[in-house]
Amino acid sequence: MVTIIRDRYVVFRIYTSVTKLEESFLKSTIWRIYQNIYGLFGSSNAGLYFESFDEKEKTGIIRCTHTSLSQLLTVLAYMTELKETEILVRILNVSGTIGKAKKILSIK
Amino acid sequence: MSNKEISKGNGFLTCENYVPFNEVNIMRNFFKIAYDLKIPLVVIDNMSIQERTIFLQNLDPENSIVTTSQQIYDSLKTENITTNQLKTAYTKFIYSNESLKCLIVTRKTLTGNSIEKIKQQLGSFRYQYEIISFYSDDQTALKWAAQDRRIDYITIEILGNSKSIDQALCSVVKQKSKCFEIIISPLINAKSDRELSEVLRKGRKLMQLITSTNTPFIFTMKPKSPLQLRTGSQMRLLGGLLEVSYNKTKESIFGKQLEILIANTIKLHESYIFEGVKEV
Repeated sequence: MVTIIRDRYVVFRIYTSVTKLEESFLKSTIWRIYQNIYGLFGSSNAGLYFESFDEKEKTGIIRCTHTSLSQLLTVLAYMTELKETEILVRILNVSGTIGKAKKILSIK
Repeated sequence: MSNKEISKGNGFLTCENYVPFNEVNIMRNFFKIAYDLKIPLVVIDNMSIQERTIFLQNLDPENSIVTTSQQIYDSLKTENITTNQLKTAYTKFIYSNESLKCLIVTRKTLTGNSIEKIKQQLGSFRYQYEIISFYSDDQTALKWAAQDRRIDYITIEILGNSKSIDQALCSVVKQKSKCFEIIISPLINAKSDRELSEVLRKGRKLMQLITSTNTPFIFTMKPKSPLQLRTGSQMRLLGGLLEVSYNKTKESIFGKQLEILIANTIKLHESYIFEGVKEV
């Protein structure tokens, strides 16, 4: 049986009171929460990759596999704090191609 | 759950059923974020219908970002329209309106274990608030509340009164067309891994009981700050942590709440005549 793993690109925006967010903190927080909820095995299967993040606009794109999309969205919904600052992650769209994801990001 | 559904999920309309009543500036932030997240129903706790009128004058005198259920009702009501037609028109108006403002809805949560005291409170509060919910640890009080038609929701906190919920209560709630209101904020506000594990364990047990008896339920975040608001899709995904499938929570983020709000708006309107009463 051939199993095809397809990619999904999650376009998101972060609402927070601070003017600038560091990408490295965001990455480490997402990895930490993912491992907390779904374990090391789950996070290793997710195929997470941070395509881009605009620190001023607070928008970005994360790539994951189509099988772990709901897990990633749960992790993003679960996020409440980033370096002791309250945040809210809003999913703008989910796309199957990076081109479409970038287009959505440029419009919104 | 299909990926197509998730990507569309951001467009779901949502109801936030338990927002605390705060200062005007904080509430303005709540409505701004609620509008961005497509949360058209914002239910504010401990705010009566009279207080809302004053609050609206301070918050938004031109009615540009917020509105009330009563205003929509007045705009839709005509002389020849029946109650059922009005309900359908109201629902269509909410779902089809793309530039929908935030609806401010009033609510009161009654707490306590004494049935006599709750009866007294209900008599005075029912006409002052659009939504009435009930929170208690006592099983007898909960069963009585499930049978009283003046109460709309039975509130459950996962770390609070979830022990008092049993199969008999679920049956009564289902029979009387009521629903459970489940506060899922402990999931994201857990202070330690141990507390989160406890929330997950108790939450799963509770949801297993509710879903096995097919009792209607709704999710609410009970946010303390505007950044604790979540979209409907996000609430459904968080519900997934409690092992409730995504498809079973379709009605629990907006549909049920809207249905109850419309029914109560019609009943609380000054032109409403109780069923069976004839005008002479």
